[in-house]
Parts: sequence; structure tokens; C-alpha cells
Amino acid sequence: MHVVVGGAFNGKRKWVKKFYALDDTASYQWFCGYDEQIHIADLFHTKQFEKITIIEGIEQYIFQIMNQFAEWRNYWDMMVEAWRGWEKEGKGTIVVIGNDITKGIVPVDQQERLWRDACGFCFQDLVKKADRFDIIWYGLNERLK
Amino acid sequence: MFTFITGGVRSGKSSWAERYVLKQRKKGSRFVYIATSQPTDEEMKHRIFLHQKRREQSDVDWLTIEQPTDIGKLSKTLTSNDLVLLDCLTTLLTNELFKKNEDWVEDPLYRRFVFEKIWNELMLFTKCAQFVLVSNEVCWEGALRSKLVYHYIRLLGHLHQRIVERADLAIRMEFGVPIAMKGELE
Repeated sequence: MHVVVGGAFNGKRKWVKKFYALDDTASYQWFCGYDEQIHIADLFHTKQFEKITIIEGIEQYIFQIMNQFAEWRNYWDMMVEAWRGWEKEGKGTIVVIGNDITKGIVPVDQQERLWRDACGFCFQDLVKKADRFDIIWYGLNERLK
Repeated sequence: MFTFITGGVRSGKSSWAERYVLKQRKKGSRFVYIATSQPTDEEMKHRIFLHQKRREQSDVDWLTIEQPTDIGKLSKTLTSNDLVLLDCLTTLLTNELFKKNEDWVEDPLYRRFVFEKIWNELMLFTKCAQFVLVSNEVCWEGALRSKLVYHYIRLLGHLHQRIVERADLAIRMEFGVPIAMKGELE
């Protein structure tokens, strides 16, 4: 698993596309948390994953999971375990892209605040389990793992 | 030589940038400071005053030019001997956008125009011996709910990306400590 994190509009998507040479000829699966409609269940359907599977905007999926499940951490663990299981079978690599929302002013809104906390927790969990971790700064990567 | 510096507020970007420019001094160098801030309150006036005082006290003469918008107009007066410091990109972007009140929030064409205008005007300064551009780190906010903030951060982020790609030296300032993200600090 490859975790890519950075601030908004720092060129994370562009960097991933270039790093994995994801042009028109490449076969990959791209899940985008910024789509109008997102389905968390998609992230469990590992049968649909391709050799390179990208999950962009993980913070948006985290937001959904938190709002839909009281025991959202269990759900999160199950999901990440499903990814790792798929990778262990040698089927490919999962690239998780997250917008780092953990660094601003403490939000007044409780939901926003909990979401931010959850992102901190989940990003840390992902990085712990990742083979590689990069932070993107205006198109440049800083490899931390 | 094109140098880009960004960091949080009060991280020491401006004073570092000034010292950095002074170090590039050669025979015939002229020091040019382009200020984009327009004071809107007393605190702001005071901040600008402190910046001015610091430059006055330095052992070289700075040519200070106040240019809140349309920085491209200055390029004719600049030469390849000039060491130019522009402080800062965020206020320049704000000033350019708000020329049109808040209409720009709902006007993608105007936003695109401002983006290209600023980029093209900045590039005119790269003919100078040294062009140091100071900006501010504002991308770490999760609350992108407001349309205005969203579009502002988006524009600034895209400008930063393009600038870093083009810059010879890109510095991330962390509480007074400069980190060379691209290029080497001597």
C-alpha cells in the first residue's frame, strides 16, 4: 500500500498519475471521493480492483463511514484488512490519496471536528500499514517511508 | 535565478528573503522591493512600517515600489542587474481578484484570466539576476465549505504548483528554518 498525503491543490493526483505512469494505455482502477455520488461498498469489492488501484479523497470516504456507522472504526479496520488481503495475494498495489485536513484551526462545528480527528487517526493507521508514504508539496514529493 | 519562499504567517519568510537577496550582491546590483500590500487597518500599517524600517536600517538602499496589482507594468523599468524581492503573492492574488468585487467567485473565466495574468507577469521578472517571490501557506485548512475560500485556495495552490515547477530554488520556511524543497541552499 502506498499512502500519498498533502494539502488541498498541491498536485497529489498529478503526482500519482505521473509516478505510476497512468496514461490512457495503462489499466488501473480509480475511486474518487470527490464524485457526486460515492459508495463506500465499492472499496470492499476487491474483485473489481486492478493491478494499480487508486483511492483518491480518502477523507471523503472517512466522512461517509463516520456518518453511517456507529462502530465506524471496526468498519474501517475491516476495509483496510480487505485491501491488505488483496495485496497479499499479489494482485496489485493500492494507492491511497488523502487531503490533509488535520492542520487548520479547530472547527467550531462538532461534526467537522470529529471528522478531522478521524482523518488524523485513519491516516496514521494507513501510514503504519503502508509500504511507502509520500507527502506532496506543490508537485514535489517527500518520501517519509 | 528564480527563488520561491512560502511558509506560515510570521515564520520569518520576509526577513530571511531580505537577507538572502542581500547575499546575492554583486557590482552594479540594485535592490528592488515590490510591496503588494494595501493597508486596511492600523495593525497592517504598523506591520508595513516595521518592514520599511528594517529595509531602511540595512546597509544598502532598497528601491521600494508599491504595486498592489498589475506588477507587469514594472518589468520595463527592471534590468538584469536587479535583485528583486516581491512580498507577497497572496496579497497580489487577493488584490487582482477583488478588482471585480466578489463577482470572481461566480466567474470561472475571470479566475482563469487572473491566474494566467499573474503567472505571465511573474515570469517577466525572471530576467532579473535574482527574483525572490514570497508567498504564504494557506492550503492546510479543511474547511473549504465557503465558495470564496475554496476558489482562492485552489487558485493559490495551482499558482504555487506552477511556480515550484519553474523555480530554481523553492523554500519552505518552518518557524525561521528554511528547508530547500527544490534546489540547494548554499
